[in-house]
Amino acid sequence: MEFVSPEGLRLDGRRPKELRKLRIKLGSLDGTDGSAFVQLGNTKVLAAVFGPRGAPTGARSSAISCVIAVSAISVQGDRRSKERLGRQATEFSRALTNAMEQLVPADILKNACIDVHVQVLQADGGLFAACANAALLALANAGVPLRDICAACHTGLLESTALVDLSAQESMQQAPQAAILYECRTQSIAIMQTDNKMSTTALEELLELATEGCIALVTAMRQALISSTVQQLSTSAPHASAAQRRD
Amino acid sequence: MSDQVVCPGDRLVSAAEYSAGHGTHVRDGYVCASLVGVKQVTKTGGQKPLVEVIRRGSQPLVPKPGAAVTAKVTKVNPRLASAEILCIGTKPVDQPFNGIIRVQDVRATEVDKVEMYSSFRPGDIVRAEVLSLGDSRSYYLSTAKNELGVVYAKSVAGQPMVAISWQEMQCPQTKATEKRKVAKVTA
Repeated sequence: MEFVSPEGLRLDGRRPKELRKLRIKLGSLDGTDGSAFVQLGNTKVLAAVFGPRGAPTGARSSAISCVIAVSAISVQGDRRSKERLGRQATEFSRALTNAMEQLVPADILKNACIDVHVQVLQADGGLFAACANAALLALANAGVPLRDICAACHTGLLESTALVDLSAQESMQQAPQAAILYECRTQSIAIMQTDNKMSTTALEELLELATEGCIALVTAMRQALISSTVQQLSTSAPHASAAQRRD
Repeated sequence: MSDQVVCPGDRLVSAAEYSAGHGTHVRDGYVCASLVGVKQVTKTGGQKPLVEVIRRGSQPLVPKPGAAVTAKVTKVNPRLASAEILCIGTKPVDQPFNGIIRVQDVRATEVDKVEMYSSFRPGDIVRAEVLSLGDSRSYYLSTAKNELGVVYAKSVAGQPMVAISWQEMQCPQTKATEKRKVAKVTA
């Protein structure tokens, strides 16, 4: 199969370094403390944040928990492929929980817990990148203090061309793939997940491309957060008085 | 307006010239935002100006050291009283946080003579202050101030009692007195 045509177009008509269309909707779920809907191409995920609230009695290993659930309607294919995706989701939830613990200041998490639930509505490649982005946006929407905004991006090396934001068709190939969660301010990688055999040069190429992708995504995510805040400011009454917001 | 809206991680100002307020943190010598909201600089007399990030709408409610809380006593033993934090300041929390009033934090004077059963009973509503973030299970609370202590308690007969001194409350029905660490509530 040819993944990049001689004209330099991918199967879905994108350029190799072109992200899919990103759509972000914040605070769409009522009854949660914060929520975010992220659509990256045909991948759709919904994240909700509950908390910070009092920690339940009985020791807990971690004060922040992130659960990624892949719904049965989200993927085509047989039961086995759905189960595999579910296992991968569990693995990635752990990594994401770890990354979030670093991101939220310790004094918030001391005796309180935050639950982040991510539901995959439609899976079409770049699934975990979309989940991570949605989870972070939901945390920011909930007003949980964060050290930085990060973004996640998925890349792959198909037919020795580095492609950003793989679609499901592209990510099904046995080709080198890397997904990262990137912290822009510290310019560090919080999570890296690689698939299939690759050389170090291939990894370097993929990481560079993924970093570029993350920076582009962070810009879009910041824009979404800022515009939702501006919208909130313009629709509701002028500034709350100092007394109201202090406590 | 939109240029004042900041995102988590944004560098706001130098930490040497400004002090970090609500919704910010200091990193690498800069005051950085930790919330999405509007940046606001308040001038304080003499000291460094205060930088804050103000958020609209709901805000996460977590007890902080020094905060005044309202708690309901759940268990009492000779060393400590367990309580559920129901309100932080004037705002009720969705789900109660666990708190502990240790015997040494009940009152400010004669600390070694405090008897836990003569200070609190299960079911009492207590005004307290958050001492520290405590251990991983509960916040440490203190009632070692005149205005802190039991504000509402029911007698054995089930009647809400009236405070008659800072150590005693009386049941209006049976006239029996019970011992409590009573809060001096100022009108």
